[in-house]
Amino acid sequence: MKQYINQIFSLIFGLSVFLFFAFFYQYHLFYQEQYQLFLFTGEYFRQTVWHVGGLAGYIGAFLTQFYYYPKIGALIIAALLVIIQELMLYLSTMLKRQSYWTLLTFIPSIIYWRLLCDENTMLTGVVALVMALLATGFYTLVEHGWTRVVTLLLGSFILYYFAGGVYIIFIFLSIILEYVYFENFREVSAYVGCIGGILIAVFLPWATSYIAQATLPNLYWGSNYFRYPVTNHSTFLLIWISVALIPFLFIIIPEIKKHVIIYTTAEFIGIAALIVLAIGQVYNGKKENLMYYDFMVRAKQWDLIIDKANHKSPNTPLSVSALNLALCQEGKLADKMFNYYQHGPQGLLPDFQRDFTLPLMTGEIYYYLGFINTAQRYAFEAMEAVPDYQKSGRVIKRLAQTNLINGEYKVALKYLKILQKSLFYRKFANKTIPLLWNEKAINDHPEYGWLRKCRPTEDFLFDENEKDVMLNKVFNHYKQNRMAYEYLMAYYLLTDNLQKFAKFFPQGANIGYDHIPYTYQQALNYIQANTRK
Amino acid sequence: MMKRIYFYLILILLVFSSCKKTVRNPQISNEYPYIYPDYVNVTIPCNIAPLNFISGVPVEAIDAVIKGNKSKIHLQGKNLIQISLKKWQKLLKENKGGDLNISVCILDSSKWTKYKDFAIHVSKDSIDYGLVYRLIAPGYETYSKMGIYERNLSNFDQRPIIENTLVTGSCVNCHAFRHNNPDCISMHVRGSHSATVLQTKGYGSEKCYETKTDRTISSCVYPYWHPDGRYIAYSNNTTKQVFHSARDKRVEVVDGASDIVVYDTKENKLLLCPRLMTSSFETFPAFSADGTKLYFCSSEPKRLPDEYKEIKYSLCSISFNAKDGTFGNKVDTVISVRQTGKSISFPRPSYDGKYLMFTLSDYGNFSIWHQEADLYLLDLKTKKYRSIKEVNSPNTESFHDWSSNSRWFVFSSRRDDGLYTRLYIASIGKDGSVTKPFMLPQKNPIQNTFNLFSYNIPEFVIRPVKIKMKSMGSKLLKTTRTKFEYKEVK
Repeated sequence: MKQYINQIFSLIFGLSVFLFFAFFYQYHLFYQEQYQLFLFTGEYFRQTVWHVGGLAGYIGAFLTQFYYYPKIGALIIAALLVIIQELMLYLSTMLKRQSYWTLLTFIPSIIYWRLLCDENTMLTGVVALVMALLATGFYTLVEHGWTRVVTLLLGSFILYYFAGGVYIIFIFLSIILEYVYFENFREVSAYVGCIGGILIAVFLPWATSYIAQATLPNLYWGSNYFRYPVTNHSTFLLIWISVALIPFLFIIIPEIKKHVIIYTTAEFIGIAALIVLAIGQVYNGKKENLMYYDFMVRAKQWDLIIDKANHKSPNTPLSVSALNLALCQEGKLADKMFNYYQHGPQGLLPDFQRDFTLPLMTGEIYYYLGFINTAQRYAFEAMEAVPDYQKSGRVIKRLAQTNLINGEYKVALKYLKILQKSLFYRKFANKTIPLLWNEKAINDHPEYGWLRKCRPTEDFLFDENEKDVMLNKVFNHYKQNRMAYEYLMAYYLLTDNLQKFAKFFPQGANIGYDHIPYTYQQALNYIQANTRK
Repeated sequence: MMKRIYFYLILILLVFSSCKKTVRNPQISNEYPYIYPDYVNVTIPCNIAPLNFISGVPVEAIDAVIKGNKSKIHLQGKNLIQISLKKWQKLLKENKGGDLNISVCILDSSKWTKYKDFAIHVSKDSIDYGLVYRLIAPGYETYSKMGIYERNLSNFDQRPIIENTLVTGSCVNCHAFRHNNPDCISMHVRGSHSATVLQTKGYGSEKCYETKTDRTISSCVYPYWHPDGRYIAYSNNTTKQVFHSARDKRVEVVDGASDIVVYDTKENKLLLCPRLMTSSFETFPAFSADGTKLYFCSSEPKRLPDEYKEIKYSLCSISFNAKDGTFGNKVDTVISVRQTGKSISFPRPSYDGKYLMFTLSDYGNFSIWHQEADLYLLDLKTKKYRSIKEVNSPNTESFHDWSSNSRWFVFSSRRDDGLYTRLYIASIGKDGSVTKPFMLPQKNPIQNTFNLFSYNIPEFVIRPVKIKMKSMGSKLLKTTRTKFEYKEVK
């Protein structure tokens, strides 16, 4: 039992990570997946790898695509964090053969777990760390002193270009191993390796800055561990320090000789408490909720959105606008919109922002309203705003759809051919390509055909400061566009423009209502009462 | 031992040679093959990179024989014909001034079809060393990764001059060289570290400038170097974007106001001429080949955004004296909007002084977003202009540039898919005749499909651009900028 204790702890740890991401943070994984598009092409490989830390980025993107199925994504994260812990254990036991402090080796993985709760932390950093620890593990297998020098110097170069800033960990741990594990105090090779390693650690990114188009901090830290190129690197520093220090702690902490069970239990409780504290502190249920709404809109799960809102009414522009869209798609907006908290006109059609999240949601609403060009623009803008310059599978799919609806088949085909090179968007692409240049098939398509009818064919300049005018134009173009009508009416109600509401109300007489919607009844009663006064 | 090695070598050779399928009993077609890019009957410079191509539709195999006077190349691929650089260069050398005959056979449904042979004419005129262009997604207001890149036209090498990763979150644009000579460079960086980078005295002389002054309405854009390298013409534009709602139109970029200024690099002074800073919209300046004239576009001011379709630019010119930096007393209208009924943008005189090429669109000045935009050629001697039908397509043709011998021009076109701009090159004879354009050679043309960048502002360069990238990055990240001063001139 004693010999399996670490494996049991690793299993429990891995299972906890898996359960957390699979069931408590799954929409974070969906969110992450939509802001990249891994392609199985040589050119994508070349472009991704041809940067400092590029191979880690490529592997990270490859693994992230599986977030499309969050349970697989959670499994991948759990596996990587367990691998990190196991490698830490391997390296630590290299320095001290037997120790009861093995649970300390979980600390870097716990810190990374905490960091991965931030939706902008990329899996690249985890992969890079695994690569650095594997390289260090390999270093321990090299027996000859001068061969180790070559391994260290060459390995640092390779690791730097393949994995980025984590090369520092490899250099640091290799030097420690050289003196502690190999006990190579007097050999010249140890000093050459040590000095060479330090020089590489200090000067390699600096030298690289003469050929790479990147800022110096990004070259030292690695630019692709986080979605934003410029960031506070203190958390990464914490992980790296912990990785470097834990094997060191194995050496300096005195061994437990008495009360082993008590100490081990205390250690276990301490680690468990650390997990609860570390994860509990950063767990962001509100964000997970927002991402839930975003995903459900993407998946057209309108009833689930309404169910969720029935439990707790959403209150941010993004979530309220998702709910309103869901209510409208289910034919309930006109009756029930005021059963929920409304966020003014911003909860109906949020204003454009130059970021990669809100335009994606707002673009969905414009898409279903029939503003195909606006939906296309918002999707494009969202993708271009992704801070780590990735392309988005979700957006490319939407761009293919909008161009197909607009009859821009050549460019739609371009997007679909790109999606064909992906793992999880291929099916959509293969299904959609036969529609191109097939007017009848598109017109008969339940979604594209309908949106073709709704989209304006006479040009006007889109002005989001005059949303009611825009909605009016779209409705006037096709008077069966009930969504445009309901959004216009909702807009008037949310902006207290009852005069316009009353004026426009009769236009809805012929779009299939079997009763006057409840909200409209209330508004009309109020108008009537005030008119009498 | 050696025998064994020879045996395996022969075996490997046999295996590889047997990969080539023999074209047997092909069906004969009277049509030209459908290849991408379309290189059928094009004229190319004698120093251009190999014209690799693919079949326009999926096929089982494609076979091509490229025959010259003395030698030939026989190639086969699943879909791609990729020509060896050395063999191609040899072919071009042997056939300078002559034709290459291309014979294409395609295997589809296990049957070979031999298409009509086509020619590629190898001109005696060479083309400049390379092209410098910006690669950017054809977006709206936000931008992702972008950069200014240099492409060697004799092979497929492309290298970045500046990418926006050098200065995080920046936008790089408007690069210009003095008559294709990269010793003199002007380019802009926008964003929180904005600056105009000028390199006036060759490698190592790059400096960052703040070009907005109290007397000008905005920073300087659309640079054009005077041939003597002392002056750079810029325009100052207050630009706004508006967005279309109907299918085939996307963005409209409009100027609320614009003026033209000339920067004297020697004195660090913007020369402000009242005739170029009127209430009309003046934009897109370009010096004549001899530097005695400044061409530009001018439109009556209109109310925006309501009257955006009424903004139509005429082509104008004003004389310029480079000795003292003074302008002529009157502005000449070279081509009036009353003649064209349309709008002129990007006037670019050829360096031999014979022609001026411009873009003509229905209205406005941002012709890249105008499907109807076409290239036109003005004969500066006869003052007659014509549509360059040989190169225009139903889709957008917009920015263009002349090679230093004025025998070639490059232009951006959206003919491929209607959105992603690609570069095309065409030749122009001494008599003004223009040949069918060919797409900038691609190492693997299929990559065009996966390339989500547009080629923007192609500029020829006669040799590689040399700029201290790290030093430029450091200077851009600092806040210090040399400020443009100004001088009012009559």
